[in-house]
Amino acid sequence: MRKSKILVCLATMGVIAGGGTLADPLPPDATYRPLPTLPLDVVRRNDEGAKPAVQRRQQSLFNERYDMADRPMQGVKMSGGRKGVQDGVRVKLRSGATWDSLANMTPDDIKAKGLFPAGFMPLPHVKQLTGGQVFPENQIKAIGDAEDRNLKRFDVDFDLPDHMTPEFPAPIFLINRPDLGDISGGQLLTIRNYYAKVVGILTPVQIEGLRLLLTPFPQEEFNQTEDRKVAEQSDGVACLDCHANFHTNAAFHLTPDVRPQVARFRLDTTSLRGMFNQQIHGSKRSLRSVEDFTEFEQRTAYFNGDHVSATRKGVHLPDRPNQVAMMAQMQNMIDFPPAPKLDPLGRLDPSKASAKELAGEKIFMEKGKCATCHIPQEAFMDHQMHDLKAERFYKLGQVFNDQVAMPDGAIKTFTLRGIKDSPPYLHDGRLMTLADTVEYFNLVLGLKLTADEKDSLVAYMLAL
Amino acid sequence: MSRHLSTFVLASSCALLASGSFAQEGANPAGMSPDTEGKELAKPAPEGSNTQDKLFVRQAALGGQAEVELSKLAQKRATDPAVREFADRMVEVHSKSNQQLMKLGRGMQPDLPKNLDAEHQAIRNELNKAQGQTFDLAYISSQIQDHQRTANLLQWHLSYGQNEALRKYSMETLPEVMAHLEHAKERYAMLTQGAGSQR
Repeated sequence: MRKSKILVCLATMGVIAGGGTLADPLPPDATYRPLPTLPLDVVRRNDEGAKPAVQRRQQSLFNERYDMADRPMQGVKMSGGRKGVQDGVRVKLRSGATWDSLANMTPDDIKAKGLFPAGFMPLPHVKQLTGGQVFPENQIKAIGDAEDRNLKRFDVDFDLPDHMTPEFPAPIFLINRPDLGDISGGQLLTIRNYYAKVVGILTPVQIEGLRLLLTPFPQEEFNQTEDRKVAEQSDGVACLDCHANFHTNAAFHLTPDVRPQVARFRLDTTSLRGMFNQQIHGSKRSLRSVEDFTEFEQRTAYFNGDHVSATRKGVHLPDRPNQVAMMAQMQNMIDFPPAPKLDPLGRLDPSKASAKELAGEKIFMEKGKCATCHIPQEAFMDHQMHDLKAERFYKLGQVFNDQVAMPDGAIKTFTLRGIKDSPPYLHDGRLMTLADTVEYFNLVLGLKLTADEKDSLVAYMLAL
Repeated sequence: MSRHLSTFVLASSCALLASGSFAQEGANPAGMSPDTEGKELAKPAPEGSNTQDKLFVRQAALGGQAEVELSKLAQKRATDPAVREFADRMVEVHSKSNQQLMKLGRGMQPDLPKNLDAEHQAIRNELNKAQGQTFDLAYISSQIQDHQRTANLLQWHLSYGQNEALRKYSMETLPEVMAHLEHAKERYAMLTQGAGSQR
């Protein structure tokens, strides 16, 4: 009886809800990229004029949220052996809070008192209202030298210091040739040097896939039209301009999957290592094959999920049975970096691991709940998307550098294999160190880990 | 001269840093109208306004007016005390907010509506017919929709609006609107024994 009454209520409301068609919708630029209205020289002059202030305000946001100092761990290097791994918790606490006091508060209480560390909130793009791909200086220089192609924008610069980013160029490991180890020779793969490096190692199909992954195609900010953010008409960007050497150089972007512009979250480039084991692709879209992702990325990473803009600027639509398949097969050859302390099932070998690492593994599997999603025998993933509901801890709708703090919603589980190689962490790169990730999950999952347990978890993650 | 100018620029940047709002630095000039007000072409003046500002004032006024009118109806007709309490809050907050919007938008000469728009007129007609719990649910449902739309409208304005004072208004209003939306979803869940989109 009661149920049927509610059904009647709902049906009545349906009639009222149907009134939506009478209202004015939001204007088209709430979803679509507007056409430019000004000549490039005017846009460029204004962008260049605004740039110092844009960079300054982003630096002040970083300094408010994090300790950005260069403080590497003693005796720990990334897999190529050339770059240190940053140490310690870098997210700053709000005044009056400690990590332990936060761990003993409820989400509602933390939210009401405004004590959630700002570094745990979504990280804005350096210029949120424009967004788009931003490359680190090392990538800009390497591609400029090798290909005479300009990846430098006139409106923004890369916003993270070099020591907070992955080793560059990253080593490359292949699952079809595990005997070789790193095949990069310490160099960045480019369209000018790839062939000599891989002939005799890769198959013809893989080499053709690699060629396409290194070929620049028009992109929203790098193209030949007046609506671009690079001085000269540009050939565009290549897949491996962000996924440098099939890893990541920490180039960033905004998600193509959210509107309006202020609500789009920042995307830190994902490593392509271990692609063969990944069943879902894209932090939001959960595309079911790397083929789907590779094919459609020409409209998403390249054009913000706006197929209209893509068509105007010259979209590259790779041929599915030939080009897409080859690009995907190439990506599937990329291995994780070696983890000599792991056994074939992804567990620590007690004869090789330290007591602290083993203690960390125990926390990982039990009290820390990490292995619920980061399953060791599944390459530390679960092929699922999860919603951590971090917005339980902060007030929605606050604006930081033109980005609106909104819930992240479900995001795919990323692998933890080789994780020390890919700072910054989380989908938007809001966490600078592994110790930050431990504090984040300790709070968000309500784990109440001790200081020793947190340290052990970091030691364990360094071994993965 | 140039030193004075740069001192001035620095001082105003600092002021903006403090307010957390950067209409002129943050915007993408590619999408700006050639008649954007400012000393330099497409370098928008904080006190200037663009088409998006004008349109925002109109749309926000439409929604704000409807929220107050429908909530006044709910103050009289709602059965559930929590729904009446919600309506009280809406009347109080949105009346104030609408006045503020009108003050800020006065110089922009937005095309303001005299009466409720057709959609909200239709909702009012439905609400007039509804009784008891049906009324409460229909009212809360309309509030969820209105607050969803207002949240999107405010975000759109923050994406493209130029006028500094109006952007500040949007920035301050958005968290409130998000909180109202959460409250409305909570009331809906309560009235339906847990149904709805509360997270």
